Amino acid sequence: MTNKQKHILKVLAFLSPWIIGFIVFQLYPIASSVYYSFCYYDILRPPGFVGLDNYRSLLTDEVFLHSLIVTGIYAALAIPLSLIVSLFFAILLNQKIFGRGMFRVIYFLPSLIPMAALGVLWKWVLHGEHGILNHILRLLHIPAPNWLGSTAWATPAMVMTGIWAVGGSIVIYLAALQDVPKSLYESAEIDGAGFFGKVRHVTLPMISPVIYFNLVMTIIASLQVFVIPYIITEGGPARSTYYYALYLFDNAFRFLRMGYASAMAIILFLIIFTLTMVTTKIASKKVYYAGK
Amino acid sequence: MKTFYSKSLLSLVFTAIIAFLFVLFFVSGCKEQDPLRKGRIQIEYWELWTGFEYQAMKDLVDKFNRSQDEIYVKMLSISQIDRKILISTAGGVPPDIAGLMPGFIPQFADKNALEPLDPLMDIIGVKKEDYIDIYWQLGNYNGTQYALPSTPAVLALHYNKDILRSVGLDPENPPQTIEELDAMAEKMMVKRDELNYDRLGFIQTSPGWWNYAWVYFFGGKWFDGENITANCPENIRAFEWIESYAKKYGSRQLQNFTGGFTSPNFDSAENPFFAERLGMVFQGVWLSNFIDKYNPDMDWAITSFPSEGGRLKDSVMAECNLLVIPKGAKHRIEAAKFLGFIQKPENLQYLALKHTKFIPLKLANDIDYTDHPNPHIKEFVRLAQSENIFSVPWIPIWTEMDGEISNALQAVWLQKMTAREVLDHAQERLEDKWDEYKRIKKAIEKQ
Repeated sequence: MTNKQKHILKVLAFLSPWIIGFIVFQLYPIASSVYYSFCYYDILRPPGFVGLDNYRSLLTDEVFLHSLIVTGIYAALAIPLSLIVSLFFAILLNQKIFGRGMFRVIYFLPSLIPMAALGVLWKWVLHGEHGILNHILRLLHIPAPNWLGSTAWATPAMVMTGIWAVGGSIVIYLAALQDVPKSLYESAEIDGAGFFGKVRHVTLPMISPVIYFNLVMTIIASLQVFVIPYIITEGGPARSTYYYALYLFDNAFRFLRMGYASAMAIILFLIIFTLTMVTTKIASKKVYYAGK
Repeated sequence: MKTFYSKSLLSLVFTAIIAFLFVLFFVSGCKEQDPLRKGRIQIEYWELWTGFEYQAMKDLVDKFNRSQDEIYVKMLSISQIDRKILISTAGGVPPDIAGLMPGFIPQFADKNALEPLDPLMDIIGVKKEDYIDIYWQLGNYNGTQYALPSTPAVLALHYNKDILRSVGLDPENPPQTIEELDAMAEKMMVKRDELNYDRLGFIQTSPGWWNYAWVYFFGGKWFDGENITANCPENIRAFEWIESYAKKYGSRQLQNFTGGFTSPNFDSAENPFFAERLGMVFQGVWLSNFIDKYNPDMDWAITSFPSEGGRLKDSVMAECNLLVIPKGAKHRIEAAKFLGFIQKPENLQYLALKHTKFIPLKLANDIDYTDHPNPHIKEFVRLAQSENIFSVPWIPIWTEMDGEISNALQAVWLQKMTAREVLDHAQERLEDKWDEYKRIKKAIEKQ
C-alpha cells in the first residue's frame, strides 16, 4: 500500500461516521422516498407500483393546491418580515448602548425555546378572549382580532409567532455586522453619510452574503413550516393554515398514504430547489464577496 | 514558549474527560430495576393516558406483576399512540399490548395491524354475552374481535341546573328535542357587547371534539356500510342547525367566546362550562372529574342529547378506551393473560372508580354506586344500553373522513359556505377517497 493510499484510507476512516450517517439517515430515505412516490404504500404492507398515479392525483387534489396557495401566502409574509425584523434588531443590538450584552441575550432567548413549547405558549398568547395580546390591544382601544378563530387572521398570527424566534438569524447578522471594517464607516462619515446612509452604503453591501444566506434559509423554513401551525391551529380554521407540510404529514402518518406523501415531498423538494437556484442567480449579481 | 504542562498530560486529561462522558452516558440509561422483573417474560404495554388516569391503570399493572411470577408488564404512557403503534408495527417492534380509541380499529384491522383476539379468548377468559353490547362491538371489525374495552364512556348533555333556574327554566325538565334545546339556549344567552357574550346556552364547537356526532341526532349518518352518505338529507338538516347558531349568534362572536376551534382551555378554569358561562355541553362521563377539580360547587345533571322532533329516545354517543394486541407482538400469549386480568370485573371496577366511569360489563347494572364519585353514574349506565346509542363511523378511512367533517363544520361555523355546499363538497371528496381505498384493496387482494 502506497503512502497516498494509506492517506486516503485514513481520510475515509475519519470521515466514515459522517459518510455512514449520511447514507443511512439521508441518502437511503431520500432514495426510498423517490421510489415510494411511484407506489401505493401504507407502511404495513409491501409497496405496490402505481407509476405516476400519485402525481396525477395531486394535480386534481384541491386540498393539495389549497395547501400550496396558503403556504405561498405564509412565505410571502414571513420571508420579508423575518429578514427585515432580524436585520433591524441586529443593527440595533450592534450599537454601543448600555446593557448591550443583556439585550442580545433577551432577543436571542426565544429561539432557545423548543418550537412545540413555543406553540403551546402562543396558543394562549393569541387566545381570542383570554390571550395577553388581545388584552393589551383592548387596553389600547385597538380592535382585537380573533387570531386563531378567523380565516383572515390565522396566517398573520402564525407569521408573528415564527418571527418571535428569529434570534438565530439575529446572531448571524450580528457576527457579520461586527466584521464590517470600521474604516469604511469612518470614510463614509468623512463623506457626510448619516446613520441611514452608512447602513445603506456600507452595512448592507458588506453583509450581503449573510443576507443572501438568511434569505435562502428563510425560504426553505417558510415553505416547510410545520410545528407552529400543527400545535396551534392544526391547520384550521377551515384549512386556512393547512400548509403544505401539514397536509404532507397527514397523508403520511394519519391517512397512511406514504406513496402520496412521498410524491408531495418530491414536489416540495423541486419547488425549494428551483427557488434556491433563482435566488442564487439573482444574488450572484447583488452579493458582494470581499475575498473575490 | 515553554508551557507548564506536557502534551501527554493534556492528552491524558482529554481522554479521561471523553471516557467519563461515555460512562455517564451509559450509566444514565441504567435505572434501578424493579426486583419483580428478574427472570420473567417482560411485556410492554403502551397507553395514551397521563396523570390520574395513567396512575389508575399503573396500579392494576403493579397488582398484576405482584399476582404471579411468570410475566412482568412494563407500562409506558405514549402520546399520539395510534401513529406510534403503526410505525412500531411496521418496523416489526410493536408493543405487546396497547390502548387505542375505537375510530382506529377499522383502519388498523383492515391493514392487518392488529392480532385477532378470537383465538386467544380461552386465555383471556371472557365472552361476548357478559359485555354491554356497544362496547363489545367497538372492538369488532367485520366479525372478528380485535379489541376489548378498558374503560367505556357515554357522551350526553351535561347542564348547569343553577343557570336553568336563574332564567326561569325547570332543571328537572331538560330539553328533549332540538327545538327545545335551541329555545332554552337562547334564554340563557347574556350579551356583553356587540362582539362578546358573557354567557351562552349551548354551542356545537365547545369543545369541538366530536364534529361527526351531530348528524345522528337528526337520524343521519356518514357511512351506511357500503356508501358514503355525507350529504344525505338528515345530515344536511343537522348542518343547517349548526349553521343557524352561527347566523343567530354571529360567527365572529362565537369564535371570540370559544377562542377558536383549537382552544386550549378544556382542562382549565377558563373552560366556559366550569366557569358557568355555558349552560349546556355535550360531554362524556369523565367530565365529573373536571367539574370536581374546577367548580366542585356546581349543581349539574345530565340527560340524553335531544333529537330532532324528539324522535330518538335516549340518544347518546358511546366512546371507549380499548386494549389491542398489535400484529407481530412478541409475547401475545402473555399479553392475552394480562388482558384477561384487566377484564376481571373487580379490576375493571377499580379503573372505573378512579376514572369516574362505569364498567363495560352488563354487571354494571347490579353494582351499588353509593360511593361512586360521579353522581349521575347510574343514568350513564342506563344510557349505555340505549337502542339509540351510536359511535364513531365504522370505516377504514376514518381519519380522512374525520378531517373532511371537521373542515365542513368549520366552514359552516364561519359561514364560508352553506350546509348543503359543505356536505356536497365533503361527499365528493370522501367518495373519491372511498373509491381509491376500494381500488387499492382490490389490487392488493389480487397480488
